[in-house]
Amino acid sequence: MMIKKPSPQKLSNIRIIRALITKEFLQIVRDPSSILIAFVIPFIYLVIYMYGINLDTVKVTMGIKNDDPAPETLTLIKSFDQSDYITPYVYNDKDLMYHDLIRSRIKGAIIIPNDFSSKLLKSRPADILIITDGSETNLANYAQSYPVSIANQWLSESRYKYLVKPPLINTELRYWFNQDINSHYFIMPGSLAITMTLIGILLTALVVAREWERGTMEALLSTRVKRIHIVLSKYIPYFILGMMSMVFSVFMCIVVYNIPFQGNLLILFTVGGLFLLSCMGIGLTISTLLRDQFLASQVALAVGFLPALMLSGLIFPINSMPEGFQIFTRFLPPRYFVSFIQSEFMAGTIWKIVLESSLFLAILGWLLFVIVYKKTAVRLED
Amino acid sequence: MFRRVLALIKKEFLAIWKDPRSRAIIIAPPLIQLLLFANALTMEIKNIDMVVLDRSNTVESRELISRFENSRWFRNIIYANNEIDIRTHINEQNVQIGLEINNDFAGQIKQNKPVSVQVIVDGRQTNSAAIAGGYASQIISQYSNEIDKRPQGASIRAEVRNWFNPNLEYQWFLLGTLVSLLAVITALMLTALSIAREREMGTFDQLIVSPLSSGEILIGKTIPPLIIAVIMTSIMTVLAMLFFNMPFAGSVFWFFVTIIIALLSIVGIGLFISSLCKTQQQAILGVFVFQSPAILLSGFISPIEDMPLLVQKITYLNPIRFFMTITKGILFKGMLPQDIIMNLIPMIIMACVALTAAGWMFKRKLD
Repeated sequence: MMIKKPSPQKLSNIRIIRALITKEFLQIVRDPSSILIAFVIPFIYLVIYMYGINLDTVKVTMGIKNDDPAPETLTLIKSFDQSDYITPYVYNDKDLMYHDLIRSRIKGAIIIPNDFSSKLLKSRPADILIITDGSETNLANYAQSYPVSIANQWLSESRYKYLVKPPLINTELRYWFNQDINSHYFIMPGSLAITMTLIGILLTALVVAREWERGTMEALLSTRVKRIHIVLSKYIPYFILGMMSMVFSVFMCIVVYNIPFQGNLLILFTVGGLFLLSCMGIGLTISTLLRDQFLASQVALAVGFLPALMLSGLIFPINSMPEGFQIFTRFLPPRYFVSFIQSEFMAGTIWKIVLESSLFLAILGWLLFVIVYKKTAVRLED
Repeated sequence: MFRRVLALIKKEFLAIWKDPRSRAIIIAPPLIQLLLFANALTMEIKNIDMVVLDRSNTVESRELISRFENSRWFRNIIYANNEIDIRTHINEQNVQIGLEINNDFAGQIKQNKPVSVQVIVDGRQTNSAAIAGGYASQIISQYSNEIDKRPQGASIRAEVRNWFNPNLEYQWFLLGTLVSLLAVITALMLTALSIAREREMGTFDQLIVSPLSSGEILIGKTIPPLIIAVIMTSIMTVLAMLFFNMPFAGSVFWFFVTIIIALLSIVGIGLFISSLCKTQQQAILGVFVFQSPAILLSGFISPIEDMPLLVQKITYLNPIRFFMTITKGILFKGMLPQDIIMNLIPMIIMACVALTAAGWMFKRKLD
């Protein structure tokens, strides 16, 4: 039986690519900063997102000044004290409280007026005065609403409870996919979009530019190496590094931090791979066009990292943006990946979302690959 | 000595400034990002789309739905025919919230009996979900109060005053934060590569064998990026005031003192990182390892009081945290000088430590 041997040309193709990939891998292994970006940065991010970022139950530091001498108000202050949502400081001096608000010691103030309990006793609505620090806009929203809900909760258990009537229309709130409204469930998977953008865009933005700056690209071009060899040797090692980093992050989320995962791992990593490819496309395009590490890293930061943090829907809701920006986000890979990965983790596989994201990421990844291929110089005059 | 340092400063300026591409990359992105993000970003929840299953289909239920239609938070209302419709619309993220009204709705209300409506929120976007759910409850309870003919009961309401920003415009908060954030990013990128690049190119050795002492090299490397970053910050502040009517409540003098000290500490950290690195890649990634946690833990996204105690203590090492407190204090609140100084001291210490460490790294390389 004849064994079909590969043609010499094909054989050398494989050998060239293998040699180039080996070289690229050695560069990765020998420079600790590559390992840093693939594993240490994702780790730092996950720890920060787990312990440092919290978008659901925000605890607000508030000052309290009680002008009502009735003894019942003491139990109200106790309720504030025991609440998970407020850290209260009791003041006797209103001016001191205001000064502390100006210098950001407290983020809001509650004043219980002197007619508070007498109004309740007459079964009438009673007001509490709330002052918020408007320069912390987001926190001010919480500072407005938390004291009222805590006070009403107190009311329903206080001696005035028989004077309270239940609302005519009651709202039953249900949160699908995330009953405890734990923001970590969505921000931890979502943060993968940021770390993978880092590897995909920032690291690859440097690799081609570095060869030009050091002059090794010129040395490479004087050999038999073809365009496709150079392009593939840049794509493959960093793709493997990126996927390893993704596996590490997913492992951290699911196993270490117990983030519930309802989806399918195969689909998760397939779409993740497409996302990584499109990010690498962006990074390599920048690198190939600019040929300068300083410029490439700054452009990568401007078009890669900041939009991934700000415009992906991870922290700032896309629906609240002006119409034009909502359309603009449709051209950003992280937006698709954030929406996909949150859905995959919390709701399981929703095919409409999977297919929409995959299609966009695949098309973008392919387009950028073609651009990188076309723009990779084979001659120095380019 | 003065002439030597001056020559080095001039050379550093030229290194940054002579290439039109690097000039563009320093000036354009921060300004574009300021205008772009200030327009686009908000943590307010708006344009909520809703799916409604109205089994009651009466004047009362339609009135309730119209309250949603006319509120400033909700955008499109999609009518569903059954529960499966609701599920599909929410699953596929066509809507963020669902409302279900049962067929006994109007009947109960007419008899003054309490009745429930169901609100379903997509918990995948957890922070917006909680807020959207809050808005829905608010609309429903307002409607409930209006049609309620029973005698009044005891309840607690809030009279709210928002200081410094009466209408709680998110854009102001964002502008104050963005200006300091982009200033930090600019200062870091200007310094991060300054030493690593020379080392990769081999020109750092030439600098070392020159008559310049390590202190002089340090001054020469510090001043140009500091000046450029301070100018950029001033331009961004003026732009924010011109285009977005950002207020400026406090003193201009203290504002400049603050940005100079804050950026000096950032430049110091950038130079120190750069002096540790052998290649530009290391320097860029090293800066990243510092920059992104520092941004995330500055109180920009999640308030610092809300973090675990240990993380709160770590944020005392974060210059951006103090920088943002002062910026917002001066711009919006007219913070008093003694409170400004209290926040400046940590940054002064950080600047001294970082610059000394960077200078020491040069000296060590000299030996």
